[in-house]
Amino acid sequence: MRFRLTIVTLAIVAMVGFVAAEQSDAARTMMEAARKTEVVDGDLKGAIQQYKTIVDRYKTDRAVTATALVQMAECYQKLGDAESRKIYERVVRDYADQKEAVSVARAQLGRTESAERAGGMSSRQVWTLPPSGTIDRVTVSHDGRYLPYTDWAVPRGNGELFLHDIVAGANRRITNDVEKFGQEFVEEATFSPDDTQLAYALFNKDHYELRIIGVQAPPASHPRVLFSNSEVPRIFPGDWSADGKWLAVQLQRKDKTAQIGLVAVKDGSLRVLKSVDWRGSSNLFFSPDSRYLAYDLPTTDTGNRRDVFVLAIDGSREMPAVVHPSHDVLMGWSPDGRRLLFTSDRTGSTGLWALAFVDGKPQGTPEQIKVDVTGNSMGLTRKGTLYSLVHHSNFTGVVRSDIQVAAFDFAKGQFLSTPGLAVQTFVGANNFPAWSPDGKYLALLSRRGREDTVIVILSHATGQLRELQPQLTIYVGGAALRWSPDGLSLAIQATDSKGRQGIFRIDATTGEATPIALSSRGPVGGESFIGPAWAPDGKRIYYNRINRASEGAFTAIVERDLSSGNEKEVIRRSGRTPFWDLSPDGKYWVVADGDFVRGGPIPGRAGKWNVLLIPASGGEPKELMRGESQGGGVLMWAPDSHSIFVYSIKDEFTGDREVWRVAIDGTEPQKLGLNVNFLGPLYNSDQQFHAHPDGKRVAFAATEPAKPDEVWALENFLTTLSAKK
Amino acid sequence: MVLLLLLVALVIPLGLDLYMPVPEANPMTAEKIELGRRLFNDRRLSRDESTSCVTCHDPERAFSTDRPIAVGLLGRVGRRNAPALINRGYGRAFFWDARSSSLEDQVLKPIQDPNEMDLTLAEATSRVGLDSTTMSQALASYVRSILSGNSPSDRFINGDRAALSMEQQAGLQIFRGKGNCTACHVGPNFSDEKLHNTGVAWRPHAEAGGSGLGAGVSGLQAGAGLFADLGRAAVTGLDADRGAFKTPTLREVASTAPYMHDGSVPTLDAVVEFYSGGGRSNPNLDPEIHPLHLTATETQTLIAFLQSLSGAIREGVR
Repeated sequence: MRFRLTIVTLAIVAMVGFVAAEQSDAARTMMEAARKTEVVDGDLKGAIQQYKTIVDRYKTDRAVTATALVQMAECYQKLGDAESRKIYERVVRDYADQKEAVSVARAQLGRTESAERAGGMSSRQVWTLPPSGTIDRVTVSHDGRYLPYTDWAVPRGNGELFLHDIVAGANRRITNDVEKFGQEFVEEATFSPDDTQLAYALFNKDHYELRIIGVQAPPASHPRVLFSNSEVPRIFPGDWSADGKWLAVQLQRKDKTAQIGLVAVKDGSLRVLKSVDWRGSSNLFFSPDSRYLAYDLPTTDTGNRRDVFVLAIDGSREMPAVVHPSHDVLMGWSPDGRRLLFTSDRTGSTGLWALAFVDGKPQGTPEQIKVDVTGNSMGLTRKGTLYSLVHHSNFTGVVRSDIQVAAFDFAKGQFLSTPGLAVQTFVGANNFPAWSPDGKYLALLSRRGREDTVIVILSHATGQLRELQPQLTIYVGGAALRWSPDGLSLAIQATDSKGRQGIFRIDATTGEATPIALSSRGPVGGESFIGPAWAPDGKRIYYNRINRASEGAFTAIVERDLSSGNEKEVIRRSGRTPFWDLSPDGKYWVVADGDFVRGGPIPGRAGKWNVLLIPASGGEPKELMRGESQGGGVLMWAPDSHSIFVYSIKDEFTGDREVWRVAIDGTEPQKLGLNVNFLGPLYNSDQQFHAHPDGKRVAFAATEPAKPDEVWALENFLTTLSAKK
Repeated sequence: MVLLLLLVALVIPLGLDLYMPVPEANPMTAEKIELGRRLFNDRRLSRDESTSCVTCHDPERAFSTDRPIAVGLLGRVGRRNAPALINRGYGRAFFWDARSSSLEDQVLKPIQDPNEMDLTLAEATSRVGLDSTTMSQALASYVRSILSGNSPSDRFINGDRAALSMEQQAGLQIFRGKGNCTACHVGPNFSDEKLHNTGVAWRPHAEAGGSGLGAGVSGLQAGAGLFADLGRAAVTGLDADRGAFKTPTLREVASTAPYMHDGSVPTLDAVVEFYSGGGRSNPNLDPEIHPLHLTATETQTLIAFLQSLSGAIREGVR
């Protein structure tokens, strides 16, 4: 028997060897044929097809596949097709065991970068924003010397518009519009063609206005209000036409419709060119001859991938310029108007690309200028230097965030074990943990790129991760994720595909989202709903209704009956109250109140704070603790609902925190030695801790604060492009 | 590829986008629009030469009809209400069930529909001496030229605070807020150009008359019945699309009664009452449709606002 088995085994081995040898010969023959097509016949496209056939046919032969891929990439490279880079990257990524092929691919990838250097292209950092500075869709001056930004420092900045002088390294305040910090501020700005004026958006407590101001110093001229209409709550400039007559603007109506339009510099009249998806365009740029306007738009209702379009400013025609399954974002025009510049991730990483624009039309196929670029466009100078803003945060205020789990003693308020990473995928992008009621699952939010957020559910029994992709835009900074008591769904604050903010229920199996309560929040102003919390019976849900009206701002806790839709306010507090949290038994709300808002201390106030306990059914708040602080919030409830862990900010600049355990029976609060400084910015701290229902563990998000944003300049890349031609 | 190529300068009224998408293959010209107008009024395009487009799309009624269901030649009754043809140049989907994706395609369908004009394309082209492409392009160009804007609502939104009465302004708040109207009636043309099931086509078993158009749904508690008209599902074959119809524009809505795809709702009061009650419950009811519990005052103000959507209608190159 053994003899027969051995014979059979040998026969099989021999057969496998024979088949393998035969396959290898066949593959070699096909490779030789493809090489002939490529080199002798010069038929690169024909050769690509042959290499593709080899890759398809010999998938299991990694050596053959890797070699065929490298050859295929070489053909694409000769054709000037960016697909080559994608294939080389694939070889490096997926065929690490094929050292020769990987070596060739690496060399070719390096050569591309060398070519950029050889062409004289250079990228340099020109400025690091001050910690109190932000840039939101501004353009660099045409001479490349000045950068507008908003400075939020108090009292120096106050949310006013500043100019950074790149040459002198100095910053200068331009506007003096803000009368009430936090309720008025300046954001987007763009230079006039001669760089003597800035058009900017000012939020005036109710809606955004377009204003124009001279930038000659000193003193800055008095601003001119160019456009102000309360029916247009959001408007901001994107670019100023070269003839000086028009501002390209984006606006949003109260029904959430976004529009691209032109505002006449002469009289402020608005000409709406096109109504678009509520998310609008990343940028707007006039062609240098002022005849066309370029923009990018999302390609679907829910995805964030974009394509680039060009519209004649007389409204006579629109041209799809860059239409591709990849994510394509407008960066600007070359100064001669002959090329449209955009970023695209079509090769697997985001690169800078150019598309010829001749005789009023996009022409040909795009050409890659530079690999691996980051940043949002701040426009091009007259000399063709591209400025871009590089954010260092994955999401609001933090550069990375990960979910950790540790054993925790809720009585003493201390960790009992070293925290361990709960989720090992998309490391650095995970946030807002929430245990399921039975403790078997941990839900969290996870970023995908800069704009997409998914819900991840980790099964502790199997270690499996499931992703839910509700058709919602989830703003991570301050998002709350909470399981329903039956564990079948989750509640979250988000914005739907129609641009409506509110509280949504997400099916924990399918990810389907249905609205629970929609707010009136528009692009600015109006009420917004945050922080959903389920009543223990699952029949009611609570959320915080926040009204940011300049006068009479308030926060209310609203209880909504899920079957009838009836709502009632449990409690309302005037002013700007930070986050409220419901006890696990559903009996109490706790809130940290005082002289601070979600983003930090209120300027000029004493820094008083207190912790209030409020019956969930309504009634008078009971003060549990008071003190001085520069901010604070609720870390979490203990699982037994008998105490709350709160934090107070000791130093707003370092974010140093003290943690207190506060019992609801009124006994003296206990200061803990718990270090939670890893929570990052104040406004990202609430709901980052969640106690496991077993009362023995805690999940939390450990974050790393982001570095300040940077401005980079890319020079001489157009020369490289011309040289290639 | 869809581009706009306007070789003729249409005057775009206040409230509408300056850019109107026009197929590259059919740039608008004055000649084509004029030819389209003539064809629109040409009764030779119906078998018995009794009916033209304008028969059901009356300019005096914002290019709609006062009949609940369109009536074609020889008194033949169609299936649905003839919708207002204003601002269709901005449309992305045509017919109540969105079965056409371009005006060029849509405009020839009624000519060939046995219940409307009942001609083959060959007969139609022969009668007017034009090929079908020329007919289609001319009719589509003319329809694109039919524009409504510059209404009191447009003027109010553009900054003229006196353009709406206080009652109408209150109605605007209901429209955007409690009424949830902007869930579907959104943008410059007050339509999301999408399809929704509001329950208008649903007939609970007790009411179902066996029209033969619909398909029954059984075994559903408190919801068993049938759709008198399958709506979008007749095109896609998908159960989820049963009873879904395209959102009509609300511009000129005061003059386009009766309402809904089947003309079954005679007045604006009745429309508001229908939605205030949560539409008609059925297995596919759009999640946006739920009881609004509008008070009598709120209903009145909402209707007053809807009446402010009547503006100036332009057609042709004038």
